[in-house]
Amino acid sequence: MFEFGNITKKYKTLDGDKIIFDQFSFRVNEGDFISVIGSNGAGKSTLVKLLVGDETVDSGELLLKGIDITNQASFIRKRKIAKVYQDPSKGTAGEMTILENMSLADHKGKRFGFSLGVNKKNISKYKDLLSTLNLGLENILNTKVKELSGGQRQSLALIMATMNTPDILILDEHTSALDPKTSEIVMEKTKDIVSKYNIPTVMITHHLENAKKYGNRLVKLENGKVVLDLDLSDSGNLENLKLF
Amino acid sequence: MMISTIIEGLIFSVMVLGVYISYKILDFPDLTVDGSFVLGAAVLSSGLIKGLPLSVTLILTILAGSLAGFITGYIHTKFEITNLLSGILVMIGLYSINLRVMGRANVNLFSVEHLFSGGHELLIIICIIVGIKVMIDYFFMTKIGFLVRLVGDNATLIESLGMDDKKYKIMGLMLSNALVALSGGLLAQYQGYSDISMGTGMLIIGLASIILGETVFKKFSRVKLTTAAIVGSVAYRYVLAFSLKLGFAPGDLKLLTAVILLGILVLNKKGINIPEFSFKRVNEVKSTCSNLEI
Repeated sequence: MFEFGNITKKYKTLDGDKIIFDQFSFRVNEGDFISVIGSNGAGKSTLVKLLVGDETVDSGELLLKGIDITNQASFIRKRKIAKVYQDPSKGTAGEMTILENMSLADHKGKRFGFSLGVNKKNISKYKDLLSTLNLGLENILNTKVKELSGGQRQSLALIMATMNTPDILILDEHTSALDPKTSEIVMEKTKDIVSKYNIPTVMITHHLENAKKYGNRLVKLENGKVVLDLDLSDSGNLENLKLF
Repeated sequence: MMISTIIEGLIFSVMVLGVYISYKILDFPDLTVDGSFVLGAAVLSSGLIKGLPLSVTLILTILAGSLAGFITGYIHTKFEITNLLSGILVMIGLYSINLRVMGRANVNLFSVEHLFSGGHELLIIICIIVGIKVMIDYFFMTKIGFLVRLVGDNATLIESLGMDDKKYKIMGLMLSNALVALSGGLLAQYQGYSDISMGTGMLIIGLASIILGETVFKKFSRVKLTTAAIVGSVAYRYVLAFSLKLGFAPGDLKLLTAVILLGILVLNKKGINIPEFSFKRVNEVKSTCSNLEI
């Protein structure tokens, strides 16, 4: 599905090269919901940046469904890879209405031309999608997104990111800016969407409970290496995890 | 006095709409406009003096402006030079180019036929403004216009949609400077001459007009921002005309502009944001939102 093949990544600092990944290999399979945990500096953020193309690898290759995307520009890569950011404002346009945001997301991967941005025929489709959130967003389609709460905005971002069923979904600590209750609601929506459309998902999190509860595979990174890779669908493994 | 103030205000409002696009929509304080305004006047004057048809000259004027915007956008996105510096670089460069285009620092259009030589200035300019306003309003409702709006709102989202955000930033700057150049070309015809220094302080005049327009329409929240920009431009001309009546010399106007803008900024300190589409509706929505689960 997605593969990091022997990648190396280092940053130049005044004290010499800081090696983040050295000959790192990793596979995301169909049906995976991977929770990636690890302390600060373990390489989680860099992993995501390399995946979506915000950073380039020094050597090695990245394969998406067998196609080499190592040198593909970030914006082209993002046609197949969706990401929900930590900051709810990154995944939505605050000055635009919910309807306009949905229309934009709906049009992902197509040509953006001189026809009207909002196609009225699609409104009922958007309402149906939004109503699955149970947040009442479908009733306030003409509200500017900046008027929404963080949780509403992040839920909208999630719907927008998954609207065109991406090849792979990246969740980059997407609930960490939300309060515990909101965070749980967004996590539940995430689970529903991911299982409904069967999207391979990589979730970066600091929250071990969430990692265990929602993922079916748990990966721990340390100094750019995978030090733990557990299949959580096997309940025996979950027992072992308590040792950590 | 009164009619000419309105006409001038409307001519400048084409420039103000350009500044509105770069400053408000792209979130890009684009100093190129100080140069591209003169570029428009220069290209138009030279074109007419060389005997080109008016329509061709107007198209060349618009193309010249969008080329200036393209260069600013290109050096900003390609070489990652800050937006202010990119604009200043192009503005300085344009000074020499404008001199080359005009041949000297000041050319007059008294002996050539132009848009306003047949009279009906007010009618002509109103038609132009209405046409431009309708086109801009429509453009920002289209799919491609949505992407340009995202440049200043959330450029990350353009990438997430699989599009190149740099392209749309450049496109916005081209559109903005095309309008600015057209405004310079219109002014040259109306006043009958082009001058190398006629663009000085254009960005500030544009900002002053936008903020003035927003202030005027604060109570009327259903008014489109393009309308506010146009009315702001005319209002700004009236403020200047009034200042001249008070006994200020024409040379003092730039200082006055700076002081007026500062004054408006200070007065608006608390409410400088774009006025909401409808305060009433927003409040309704806010209460709805707070009743919802999260």
